[in-house]
Amino acid sequence: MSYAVYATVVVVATAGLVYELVAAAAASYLLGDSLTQFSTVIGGYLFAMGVGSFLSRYVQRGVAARFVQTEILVGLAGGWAAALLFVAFGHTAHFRVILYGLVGVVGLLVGLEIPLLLRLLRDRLVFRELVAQVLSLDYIGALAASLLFPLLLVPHLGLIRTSLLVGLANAAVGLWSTWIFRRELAAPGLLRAFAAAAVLCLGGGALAAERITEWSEDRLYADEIILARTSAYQRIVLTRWNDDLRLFLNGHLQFSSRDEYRYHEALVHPALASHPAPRRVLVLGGGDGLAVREVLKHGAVERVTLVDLDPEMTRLFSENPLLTSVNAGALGDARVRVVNADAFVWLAATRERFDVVIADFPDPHNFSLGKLYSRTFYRVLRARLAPGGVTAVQATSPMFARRAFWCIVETVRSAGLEARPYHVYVPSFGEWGFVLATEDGWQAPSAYPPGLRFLTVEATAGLFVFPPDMAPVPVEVNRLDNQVLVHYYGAEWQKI
Amino acid sequence: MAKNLSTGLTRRDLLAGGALLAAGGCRVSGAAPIEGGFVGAGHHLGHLLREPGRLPPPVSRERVDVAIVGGGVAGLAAAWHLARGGVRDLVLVDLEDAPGGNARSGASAATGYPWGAHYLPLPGPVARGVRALLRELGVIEAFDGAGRPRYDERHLCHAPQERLFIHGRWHEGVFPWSGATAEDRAQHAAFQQEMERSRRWRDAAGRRAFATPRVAGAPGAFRELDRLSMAELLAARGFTSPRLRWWVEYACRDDYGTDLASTSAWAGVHYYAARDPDPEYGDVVLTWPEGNGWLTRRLAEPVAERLRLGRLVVNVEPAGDRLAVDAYDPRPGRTERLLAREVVLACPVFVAARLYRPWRERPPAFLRAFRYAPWLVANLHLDRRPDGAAGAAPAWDNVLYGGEGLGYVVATHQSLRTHEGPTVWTYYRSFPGLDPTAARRALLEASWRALRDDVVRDLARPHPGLAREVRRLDVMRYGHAMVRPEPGFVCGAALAAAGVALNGPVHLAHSDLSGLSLFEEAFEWGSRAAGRVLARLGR
Repeated sequence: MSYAVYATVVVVATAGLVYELVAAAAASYLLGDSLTQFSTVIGGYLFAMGVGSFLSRYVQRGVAARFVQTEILVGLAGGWAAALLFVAFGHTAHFRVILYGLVGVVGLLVGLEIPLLLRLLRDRLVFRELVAQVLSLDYIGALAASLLFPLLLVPHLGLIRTSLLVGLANAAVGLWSTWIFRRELAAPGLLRAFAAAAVLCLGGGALAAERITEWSEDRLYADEIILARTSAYQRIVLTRWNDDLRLFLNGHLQFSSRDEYRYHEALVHPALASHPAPRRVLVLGGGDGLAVREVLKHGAVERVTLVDLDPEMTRLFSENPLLTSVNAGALGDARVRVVNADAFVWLAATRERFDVVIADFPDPHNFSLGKLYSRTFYRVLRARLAPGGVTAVQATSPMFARRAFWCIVETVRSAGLEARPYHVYVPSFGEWGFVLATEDGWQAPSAYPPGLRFLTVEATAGLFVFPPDMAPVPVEVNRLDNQVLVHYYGAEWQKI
Repeated sequence: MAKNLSTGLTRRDLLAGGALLAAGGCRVSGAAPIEGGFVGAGHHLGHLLREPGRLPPPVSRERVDVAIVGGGVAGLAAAWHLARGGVRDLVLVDLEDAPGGNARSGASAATGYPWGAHYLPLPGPVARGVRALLRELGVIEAFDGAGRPRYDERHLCHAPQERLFIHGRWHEGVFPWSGATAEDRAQHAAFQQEMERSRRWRDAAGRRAFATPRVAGAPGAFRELDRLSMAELLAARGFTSPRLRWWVEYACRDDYGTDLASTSAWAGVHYYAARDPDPEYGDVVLTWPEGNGWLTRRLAEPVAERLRLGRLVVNVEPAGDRLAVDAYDPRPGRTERLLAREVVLACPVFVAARLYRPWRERPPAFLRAFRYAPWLVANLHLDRRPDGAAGAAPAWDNVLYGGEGLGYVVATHQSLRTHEGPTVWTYYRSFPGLDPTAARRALLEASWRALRDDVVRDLARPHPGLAREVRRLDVMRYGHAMVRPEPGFVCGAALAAAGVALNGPVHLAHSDLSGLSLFEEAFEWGSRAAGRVLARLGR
């Protein structure tokens, strides 16, 4: 038996095991619970191999051609398996169907390989020798795969590239088999062309693995991505579909340009218009400048301080023409001062006082963000309100996260502020809630600045009415030492 | 603007290579070597005490009203009270370069971090002194009509407080619920009930059996518990669950540096029964990025000008109508003599016995009963939180089931920042067991490199990528970190005798005298000594 044949067996064996590990590892990454994923994927894969071995009996003539075809198919299916799984996860609700389907197909093809190879080689060796050599090489390949995969391949190449390179090896086996078994092949030229095409396809894929990774992420967004940045703090993605611009931070929708005016008018104006002279305004979060745009519609405003953690975010929304058209160049206004700092820390340290404070933070979906909705935070905020000051807090959806919303309301109250919850309908979000808070009393505005598209004086009272399905529920106060809000929020959004 | 509407997966680093394979649990660890070294002068300088005759005789003399030997919590508490009592003319000597004792701390560009004790349970009504201190420092904002404290919540340990790594995953809380059988659960419930009974027990005068500080309690018949080890108590009550035993032993290792067999059952029960959960805040503790270093720094502030640091007190002896306190300063290599009217020995009993001349010449009988647990504390400076096992979210205290050490606390956990940047993890390990001397020798002889590798190996189980993220790892070795509350010791005659051995002008003040190395105990002894000194000085 020639070295080329030995090498073929080792490659075939190694690749077969790597596919199994790739599928199991990808399933563990994406679904969690690695014990279950490894167990079911390996079991399913071995069973499919058994099916493949059984089916090999139906291959009557042209064994060499079938072997080459199998190699090409294994290479393509196995090679693209990881990429396919990651794309499928973002794209379909039936990820497990695809996972086990792929495991079945690749397993079946791998199950065909060794029986076909044994039959191809049976004339070259005594049967006793043949079985001993092929099977021992098969197990050596398996050992090689099980060591290379965790120690070398995944840490240095990543799953997608590992999968593609191993697929490439399979296709290469197909290609060189057209020479090794050229005497047994009826049409080696045609098979050689197919094998070469598979090699190119997989090789190209391996070279472009980085881009495939990014692309598989981008498939998670429905619309065309026109800007994607990774700042020191977050992943900023902007998508467009016709005239609808959407901003995502770490995959969370921040606004849709079609209806964000509803959200921002409701967030800003009930607070500002109710203050007799809102001269000093503080906006916390909201680096997109949309809340600031609304604030600047009030003639009395002399100074707006915007505190947002991410300088990349405020830079984009100060400079990018598409984005400044959305926020009307608010961040470039002479009255606006941009501070890139952590809001809680900045607020606790500042000596300034403000007539109006707008707290527009991301929803409390982790413990770090939960601190920005704690009693301690609202106490600190209260201390920064000038006499007669008003604050408005974005407070997630009273419809989808009812306990979370009322928890924020109660927490504001526990800080010694009078809280007035209200809500609006924003099509891209659904029902959305806010909390207006003052030290003592609040008078509904008698006039709004001109140019609003949504809010009217007449409709304002209605925003403060909660229908029964969003009515208050008993909740605890969110404290730094209990962070109940994060638990409420996580439990409620998970149900949707 | 806000919101949820998540589109799902964004963890592209998982796909892009260089990512670890948490699933298989395998990984290459050969990253760049981690820098660091030993911190603290403690035992090098301290061991000079073994041969005081080789040190130079005093060359200078200075008269003071009060000399305090030891700048741990007891010494600082004494100094704090003396300063408030109007004693200006006092000096506090400590052999480390910073005060704080076991509650010292460090600081990096990113954060302060503890070098030892790192939290304080909410003090109950009987811990009047500690409550008054916290009110003074603003940790307690006010007391309500019923006298219940309202805390500045920034100082309460933020959620999530604790998690346990077991069976390859993090779980909330420290009890190993994962894989617990019905029997484990039943025993845990029964144990809790028994501790609850001990906690609620009151004598005829309404005093609790177990209290913090100890002196506020009246143990009565519970004294008998001290005849047993915690292991014997658990066995006698049928508490055989390995999970329950691990959990109780973890508490002993964590608070006392001892295992079940070497912990007095009285001390073991004290851990659970000496404090009531706060009606509003529950079992939460007070903590700061720098641990109890936050407290000791503030305690030291009023006497900042009166600290003599980096000096070893080698001798205390009567000298006419005063007391001579000889302090050796290794930098110029000279000994200075303080002539004090009153001396507070705020140092461990075994140290006091070496430097107080009458005791040096005729060692008191109680001395042999005091045995000490060695500890190791390591601080790991990290550029960012390393990836880790799945499960419960990162907590302040992160415990490893079956780990060599006690786990780690995260210095930046109390930060109000939304964005997590560089951080420091403080890893703790006690060396329980029946032979602390052998453990101490092994700890002091081990190289920094070997200890570093031990720490990284222990923590790499939940954090396989840890070695890549650690920029620096410093190690503090405490040969005699804390007195061991061994069976027969905590309620025994030796401890009682030590507590009343000195009545002035030399005073002993240390948590050793409670048999429990706790902030409240040290604070209590320091405060009492200060009270006696003030009375003797007529203030």
